[in-house]
Amino acid sequence: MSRPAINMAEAASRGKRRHRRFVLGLVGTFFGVLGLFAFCNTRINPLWVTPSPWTDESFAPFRQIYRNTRTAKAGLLRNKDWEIVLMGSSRVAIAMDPKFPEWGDRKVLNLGLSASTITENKLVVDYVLKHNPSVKRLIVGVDLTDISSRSDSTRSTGFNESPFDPVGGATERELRYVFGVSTFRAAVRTWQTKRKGEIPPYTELGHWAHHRTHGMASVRKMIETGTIPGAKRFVVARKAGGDQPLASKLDLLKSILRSCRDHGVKLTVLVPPNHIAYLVVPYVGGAPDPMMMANRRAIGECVKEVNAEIPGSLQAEAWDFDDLHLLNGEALPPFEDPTREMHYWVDGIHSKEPLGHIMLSRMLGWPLPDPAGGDYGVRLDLIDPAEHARRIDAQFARYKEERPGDWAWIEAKVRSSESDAKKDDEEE
Amino acid sequence: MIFNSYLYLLIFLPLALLGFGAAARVKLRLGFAWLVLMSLVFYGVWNPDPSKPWSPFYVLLILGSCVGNYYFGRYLSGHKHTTKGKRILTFGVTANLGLLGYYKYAGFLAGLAKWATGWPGHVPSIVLPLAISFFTFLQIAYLVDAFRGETEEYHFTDYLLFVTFFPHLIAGPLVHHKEMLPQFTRGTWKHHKWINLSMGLSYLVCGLFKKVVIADNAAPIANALFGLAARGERPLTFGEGWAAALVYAVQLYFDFSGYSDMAIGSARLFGIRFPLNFHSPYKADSVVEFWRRWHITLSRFLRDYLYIPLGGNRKGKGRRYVNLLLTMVLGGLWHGAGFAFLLWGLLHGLYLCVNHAWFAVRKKRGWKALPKPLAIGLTFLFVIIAWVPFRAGGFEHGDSGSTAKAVAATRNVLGAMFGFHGFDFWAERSLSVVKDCYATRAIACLLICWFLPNTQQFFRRYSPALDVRGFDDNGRGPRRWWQWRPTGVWLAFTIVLLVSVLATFDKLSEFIYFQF
Repeated sequence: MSRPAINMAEAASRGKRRHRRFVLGLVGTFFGVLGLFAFCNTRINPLWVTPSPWTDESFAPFRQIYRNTRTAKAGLLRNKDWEIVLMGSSRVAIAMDPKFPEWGDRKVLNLGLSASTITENKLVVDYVLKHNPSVKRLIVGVDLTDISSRSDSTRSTGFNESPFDPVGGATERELRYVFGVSTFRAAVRTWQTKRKGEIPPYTELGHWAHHRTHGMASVRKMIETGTIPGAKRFVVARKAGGDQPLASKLDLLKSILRSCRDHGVKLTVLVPPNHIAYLVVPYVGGAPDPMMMANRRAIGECVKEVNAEIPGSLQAEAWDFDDLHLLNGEALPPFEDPTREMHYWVDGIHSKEPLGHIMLSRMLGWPLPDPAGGDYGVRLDLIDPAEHARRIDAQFARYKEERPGDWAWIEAKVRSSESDAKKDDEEE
Repeated sequence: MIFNSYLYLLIFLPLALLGFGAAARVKLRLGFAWLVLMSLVFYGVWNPDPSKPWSPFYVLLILGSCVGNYYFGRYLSGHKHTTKGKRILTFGVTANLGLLGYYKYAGFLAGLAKWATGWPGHVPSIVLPLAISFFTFLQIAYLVDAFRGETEEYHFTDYLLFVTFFPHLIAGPLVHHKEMLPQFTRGTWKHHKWINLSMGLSYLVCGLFKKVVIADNAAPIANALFGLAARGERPLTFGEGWAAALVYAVQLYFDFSGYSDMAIGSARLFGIRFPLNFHSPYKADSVVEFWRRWHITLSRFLRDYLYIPLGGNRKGKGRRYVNLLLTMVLGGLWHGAGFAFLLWGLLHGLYLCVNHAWFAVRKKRGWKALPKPLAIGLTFLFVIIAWVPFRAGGFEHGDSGSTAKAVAATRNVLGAMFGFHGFDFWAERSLSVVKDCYATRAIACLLICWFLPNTQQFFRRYSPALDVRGFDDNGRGPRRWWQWRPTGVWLAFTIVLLVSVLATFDKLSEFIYFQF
């Protein structure tokens, strides 16, 4: 009888050892992997949010923040006291150059966030004002379509994972930056970029200066497959009733205006430009108020209203560059040379630095780098809406007259049937 | 705090385990006190409005509820089956339901009254305290059983731990005092510590995988399609309608059963076994069977504390169907105050009535059962039809919630599924909100539900949960090669799951059932 008892005891002990080995293996792997992540993440500090005494700053020019721009730009912001912050969507991230020589030795950060809406930018402004006491001037890009759209970029763009989010748990977030896989992936990409001597998309000043075409060489193709379908989606939304400025969005704009005024920060609201290939889609598609004059007027009114609230206070300005000026209607590359780059435009919705320089010069009163921009943009807080509408109509007529080939191509592409879209899908 | 967070996995859980191990070595009840403290921390980190300072109000609310119910229960166990006891029971149950009703339904009812009569004007939104639906039901069951004489004289610390134990606190399983408190007093944690740890951790990893890798990747697809349906920008296509319903079926199952697995795994680390909450519900061959497999602990509660007290099937056929319908409608409203949840409950009530009637007719006429694959397919079809209003119910919640949106989403998705918007598979690219290949990939996860064993079947050798033997396909039976054991192969497999979780573990995503 004693023999089986010993065997059972042995078996139990063996079983216990197996379970213990299993636990130690699993727990060891878990903490081992996270330990490796934590070491790499703090050594390379790829997203600017995990600095440590042993961080190797030689990685700084190679940091790959493209997939985590919200987190990384918040990291950039808390890394230094900035005097001038440029904000808005990818239109600002690309066009606004923090190294434009006219800035001089001022510390300028480009905080443009792809696909951001005013709901998000309001919270980012709050974050900037709270964490950057040295800031003197903000230039905030507001997309016209955003004013009448219920879309809220905080829900889907990585905002909730970034320090900008005032609601999420800060401890959980900081743990994620140190131990998380997305920081680790960025660390590996940064390490590879440095090893190969490549240039990352974003600079250390947050400017999206490289790799902006997503690997597509032809501007016409980008307009055909990205810009026009995007604008058509917008036309559908406007036809479904989304054609009026939303009070909620205008309230957010006013809130930004008041916050900046109360903090003594000079604010310029910027309506960034789109190429005419985008702007005319609502015309062709039959959208109500195709040039969104109601939205332009509403922005101007908001600025005037808040400026008037406290006489003598720091006055905000609103600049609108999103019209049919010929700079926004730059000729498309010829069919025989489809890969030729445009001077002012990356694609149909993103302008390049040369246009950004003109915008900055117009807004800040600097000498114009290009005489073609002498009449580029209008002050929404000053212009009469009826005059503004007439001006845009005249620009449209001039565009059709001066670029008939481009106009015909764009119109044809907009009117192209569903089968074309399906064909594109198949080609992709 | 949620299970799929670094805070839980790296700090809270290790701290809770180490503290419990150290305290329980000194005295078991000291260990329980530690767990109660940690559970209150787990609950207390929740702040409904992070823009305002944290308030102890909600911790005091749950503590107050526990203290009140504990003493009511003690009183009732001394006055079982007496008129005085019945009065106190009525008062206790009413107080619990009143609290739940105020937080969960007052806003909805006031909104209805305002719509009908214009009174009471502006209705301020009421924050629903986290887990109130769950801890209220636990304690109502305790009071009723105390009156029936089915409880014992529990120690206050044990009772507090029973209600607040963090693995089940937020979203269940709805544990029962009869299955929890004896485990505490037996001190089961001391036995098989390494088995509990290895099994508990592996179970936790499986739950994390279901939630983080499958449910969280399905969520954006379902959200985009239901969001489009609710906004009403355009009618959904045939393909989009089906994708919305099927992807949501995937998301909901893996989200909630993943949560339950994490709860079962976490509790097992402390040597505590929870009741089963899911058992392959999409393999059910009838709606009756579906409810034996889906959210099992809620079904059990509704059966024992609502359906049976209403008379169950003891008062004639007609009354039985009325009781079924009433139970399911109230079950629907338990999930949230709104017409969509009511519709969902009503649909399931009707399904159950029809299902029972069909059983009766079959029995009477001696008809054979439908072939199993057909029965499973039909059951699944009816279940996903009902998931449509269930998902749309989310649009009725919160300050910006709107019944019109919920109705629009339900109509749009169901209309698309049944061809009322034509039979186009997918919208043209400029109009689509989700790529069809992503939706197809998510729907393919249904194959896991239909063709693989479920978590407790994988872990059957080590009895992961209570009540596992009530199913034909979950009995003791012979051991299988695919069942979990603490071997190198299983360690490697668990590590693969863990690495997959870590590779996608970057977003803090709440569980669907947190809102209930």
